[in-house]
Amino acid sequence: MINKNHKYTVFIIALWTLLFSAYCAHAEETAIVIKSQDLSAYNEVVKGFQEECLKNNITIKSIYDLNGKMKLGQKVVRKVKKEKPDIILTIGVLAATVAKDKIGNVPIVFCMVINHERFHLSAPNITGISTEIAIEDQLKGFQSVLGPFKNMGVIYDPSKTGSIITNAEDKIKDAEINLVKYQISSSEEVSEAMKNLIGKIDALWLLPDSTVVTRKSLDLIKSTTLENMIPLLCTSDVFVKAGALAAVSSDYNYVGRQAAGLAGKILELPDLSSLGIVNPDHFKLSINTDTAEKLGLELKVVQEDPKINIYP
Amino acid sequence: MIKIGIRFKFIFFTSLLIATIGIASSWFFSTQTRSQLEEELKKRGYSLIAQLAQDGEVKDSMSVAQKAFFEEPIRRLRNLDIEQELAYWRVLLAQDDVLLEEKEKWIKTEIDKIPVHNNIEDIIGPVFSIFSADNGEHFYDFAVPIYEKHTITEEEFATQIFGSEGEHNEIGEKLLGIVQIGLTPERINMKMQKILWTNSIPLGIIIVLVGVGVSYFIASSVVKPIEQLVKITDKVAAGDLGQKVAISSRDEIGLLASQFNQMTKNLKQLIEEKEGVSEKLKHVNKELSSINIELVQKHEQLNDAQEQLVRTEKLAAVGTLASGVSHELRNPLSAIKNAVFLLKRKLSKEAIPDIDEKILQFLDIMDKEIDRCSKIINDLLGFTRVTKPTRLSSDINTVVKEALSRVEISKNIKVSKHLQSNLPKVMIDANQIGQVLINIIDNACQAMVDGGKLKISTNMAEGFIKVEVGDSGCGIPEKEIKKIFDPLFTTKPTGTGIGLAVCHGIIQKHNGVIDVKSQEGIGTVMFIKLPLGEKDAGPA
Repeated sequence: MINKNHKYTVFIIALWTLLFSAYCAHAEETAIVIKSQDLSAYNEVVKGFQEECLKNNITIKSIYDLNGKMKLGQKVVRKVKKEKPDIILTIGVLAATVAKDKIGNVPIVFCMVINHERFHLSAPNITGISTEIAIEDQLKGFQSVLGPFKNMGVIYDPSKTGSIITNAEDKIKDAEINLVKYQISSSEEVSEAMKNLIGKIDALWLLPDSTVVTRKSLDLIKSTTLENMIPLLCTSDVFVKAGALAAVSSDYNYVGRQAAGLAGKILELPDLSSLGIVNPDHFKLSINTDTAEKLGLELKVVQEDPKINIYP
Repeated sequence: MIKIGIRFKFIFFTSLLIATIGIASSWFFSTQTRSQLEEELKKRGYSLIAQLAQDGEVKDSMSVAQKAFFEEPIRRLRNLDIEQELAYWRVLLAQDDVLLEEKEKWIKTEIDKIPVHNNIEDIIGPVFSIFSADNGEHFYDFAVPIYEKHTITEEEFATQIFGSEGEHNEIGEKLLGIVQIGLTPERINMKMQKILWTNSIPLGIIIVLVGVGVSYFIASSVVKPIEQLVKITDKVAAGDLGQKVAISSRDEIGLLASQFNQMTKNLKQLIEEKEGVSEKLKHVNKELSSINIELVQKHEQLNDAQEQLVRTEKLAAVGTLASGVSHELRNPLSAIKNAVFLLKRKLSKEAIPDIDEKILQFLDIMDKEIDRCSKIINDLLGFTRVTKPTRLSSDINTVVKEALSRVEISKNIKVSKHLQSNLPKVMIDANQIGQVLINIIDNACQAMVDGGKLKISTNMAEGFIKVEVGDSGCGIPEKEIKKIFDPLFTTKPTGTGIGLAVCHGIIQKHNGVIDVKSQEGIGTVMFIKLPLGEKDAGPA
């Protein structure tokens, strides 16, 4: 004779299974996340994506970490193909590159790819979220910290961030700011660039340019700007933490959420389509108060805003 | 003294200059080339070591510390070493273990003599150094740290931008060890030698030879015209001003030649002008000389005339005095003469036989002295009565002979006559000239008291008849010669000093010249010159 309790338990389980199956039968879309390496920023994106997927009835089948290894990436992609997800989220350039190269029949949403234009991440099945915040928003953020300023200097490698400058120039001019540019082709030229710009600028805009930003040059840029009382404005809160005055950067959690939103939209489309490359719709302002103090800036109003990250 | 020509100097110094420049250039370019080759060697070393650093197989071999896995990377490395400069290679693991070290067979230095890099953790990028072994070999040493890369560069950069938490720190790379290679600069030395012997030296020799040739050519083109110029200059200096330099080049030498020709032309002109002026000067000089002579003559004449004037005035004064005194004295003298005559008659021996002889002597003395006074008076009167000569054509020799016959010549005086025959007749007052001759001959005899020679000669010269009367007497002192024709001047103890003055007057009236030459102790010569061609003036 079957115990009554056991019967009850079985019933509950069956009911749940039925319900779950029904639920699962209803939520057919699956997603796989491939992140390039284990970075906290990438993990934030995953978190946001997961949270938003739940709302959009997208099931995340697997999350793969390529650990920065190209070969592992190729292995993972083969696995992913077998799993046949409805959509793939790639985080970072390695994952995006590998997925784009091998997968053409599944929609891919990429994010956290710095200067994505360099990597030709465009295909009928690829949608992306750029890491560049709209220049107007950046300037707004910088001016809320600094107040109005006239001359903004920028050092850049045209082969890497030339398009950012080209796209931003007119808008910077509209904001009545004079963009003082200095082109370099190797990181050894950063010192010369700094010497050239100091004295001509009110602030230095640090782009995510791997020719400009190296471990060596970053120290030089930080020390030189501070010595000459020039605010260093950038696009990474990591640099603000390290001593730059302010940064307007993506909110990584919201990037994940935005990616999930895009995934939902793509999955609703009848055919395999791309929604193009969009800017992040959420960004954060980070400020280093120590640096502000050294530069003699008053940040009372800014400090009161809870959305602003204050360092240290 | 050795003469060094321009040609030699030019060629020598040009060649020296070319050689110096050539050597300096060669040295400079050799140095530059060597530096360049060394720099290229350095670059190749960096390139090779970077190749090793990027070689995944090297990283894999080091991560598993497997020596055999290096064979392929080393083979690839040696293939890249086209110049065969790779001398040695060494792989050092992070724990300071030497995993692998090898050298090429032709390297004499032992591998263990090549220093190992210590403190490899401190090496963050490629390191370069030059190592010199004890045996003289040199090596360019390169070392580079090998990291186990976590991920691709772009993801590494993403780590920088987005930050990281996890296994990898800011550096994000694990040090596996270092790879060290050495390159030998021996090939550079061989290349330099080759460049020197195949390029520099032959080129240098060619340049010097060409330089010598060109400088010889240039020197000749300069020296030849100069030599020609020198030859022409010598001829011009010797007086041949018609020479011309035939150089027509359009340069400084051509200009010099043309200026030289102009100069000789001007010189010739100047010399001709100078000669013309010289001639004129000579002519003028001649004229001046003759004028001078005339002036001298005139001066002498003037002096003579002055003397004559003085003498004439003196004579006139003396004459006037003499005339007056003579007349006054003549009468008393006559009376005294008569009285003496009477006394002599009265006091003669016949009349008074024992008369004192002394009285008779005194009367003789008185008679003689009266005669002498009469003579003086006559002479004085004669002097005052010199009349205008009555000139008749006369034979001078006859007049001379006549005068000689009328003078009492002492036997101790030898007379020599040199009377030129066939002398033309001369218009003279024979009496007066005779008087003159008598006076002169008498003076000559008086000068030869102790005997001597009397020489008389006549001849014709320059339109004059010349009569010379010379004696070998005591001569006349020089300071007195000019005075002998002055009236009342005499050197004789008993003379009146009128004789020669009268002679002078007579000769003067004949338009002749009377002159004297005398030397004390030797003798005196009197000269008379009577002009030929004078017409008969007729009786006074």
